[in-house]
Amino acid sequence: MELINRLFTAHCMRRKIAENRDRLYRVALAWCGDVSVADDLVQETLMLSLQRISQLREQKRLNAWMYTILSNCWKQHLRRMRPTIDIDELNLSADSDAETGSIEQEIVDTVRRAILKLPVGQRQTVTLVDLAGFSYAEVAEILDIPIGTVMSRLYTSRHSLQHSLAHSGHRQPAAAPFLRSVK
Amino acid sequence: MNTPESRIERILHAYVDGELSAAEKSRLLLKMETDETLRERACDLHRTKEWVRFSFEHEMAPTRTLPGICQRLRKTPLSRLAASLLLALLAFGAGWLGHSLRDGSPPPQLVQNGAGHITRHVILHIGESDEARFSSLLARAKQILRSYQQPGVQVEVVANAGGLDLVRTASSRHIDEIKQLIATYDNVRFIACSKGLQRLRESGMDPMVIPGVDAHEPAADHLIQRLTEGWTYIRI
Repeated sequence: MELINRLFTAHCMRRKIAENRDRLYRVALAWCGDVSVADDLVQETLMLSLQRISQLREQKRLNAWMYTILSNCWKQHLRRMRPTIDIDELNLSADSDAETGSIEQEIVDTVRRAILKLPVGQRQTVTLVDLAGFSYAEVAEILDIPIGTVMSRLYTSRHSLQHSLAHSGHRQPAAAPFLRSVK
Repeated sequence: MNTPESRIERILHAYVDGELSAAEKSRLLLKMETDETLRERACDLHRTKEWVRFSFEHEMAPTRTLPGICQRLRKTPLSRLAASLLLALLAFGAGWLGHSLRDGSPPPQLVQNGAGHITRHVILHIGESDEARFSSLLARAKQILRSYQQPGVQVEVVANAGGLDLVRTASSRHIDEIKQLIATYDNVRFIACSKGLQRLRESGMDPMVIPGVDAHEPAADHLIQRLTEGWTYIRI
């Protein structure tokens, strides 16, 4: 029975690693702003996760553990590649269909640019909380920083993001009511 | 940062992030009932959080879809499902027990398939440029191929990052050895990471691989596929 449990656990762990790909990719993209770099970071993270899965003692820590690996890969990437790209020159547009409002797209671009302009630590913190949905304690563990630092980074980064949104010249898309009539 | 305003601001952040205890949340909600500014601040923070999430939520990793076990199961007749399930369980067992084996560790587990044949599906993974590891990997591959010559044995050598030096014509000292292995055994494959080769090409290095070495997909994709299928993974 113990063997079957172990086999099932191993199967689940590997499936979870594979299933995390898109979520990891979104966070990696928010960190680096470049689709090919984000893809490379995710590939590297998946590879290392598979290689080191035997080192993971608690299955419930799998998600946080993978983001720790992603963060380390990102740090290595930053060390290798000193930032030379002008953020304003990056193509940050997300895919959208013709019906998607241009205002919405502009706000998305504004948010992405604002995230890329944040210092790396703030960028990582706010995206791990808002995109990946981690708790403060988990982010503290992933980034190896105190919870107080997580909170102050969130405070500062969101303040900057709000400032960017407020000064981007966009208004909230919205005036049109969602419901035309209610019976 | 320790002004009352910044303190309440942090509490608001914790509120929109779901970090407050029930009692703290209750106190804050009561305060918001009478404080319009506080309500507006909470709303602004929530809006910012949602914009961050929305700005990336449609992004998908631009890589291939993973092999669909469910898709295969859908096509499989029920009569074969139970046998396949048992086989898969055994295969995953082999993978788990051998997934982190290093060179020098015991040989991977044997798996018996429905036809009574012994099957051994092994991936040897090399990710570092190290001559000693290269020699060890090739010796290990030969050992498996020679020891188990019955049908059902499959060996794949996957090289990525520094390990690509084993299979590149410009850097490998084992070209003849690898060619001979490929020519002698039809159940061995050498796979070079396409992404790694592309990176080498972009940095001006020669990405040419030894004839017979596959270089059509990223190593990570291939490894995930094989591990999902229950292959035994050995990192050299």
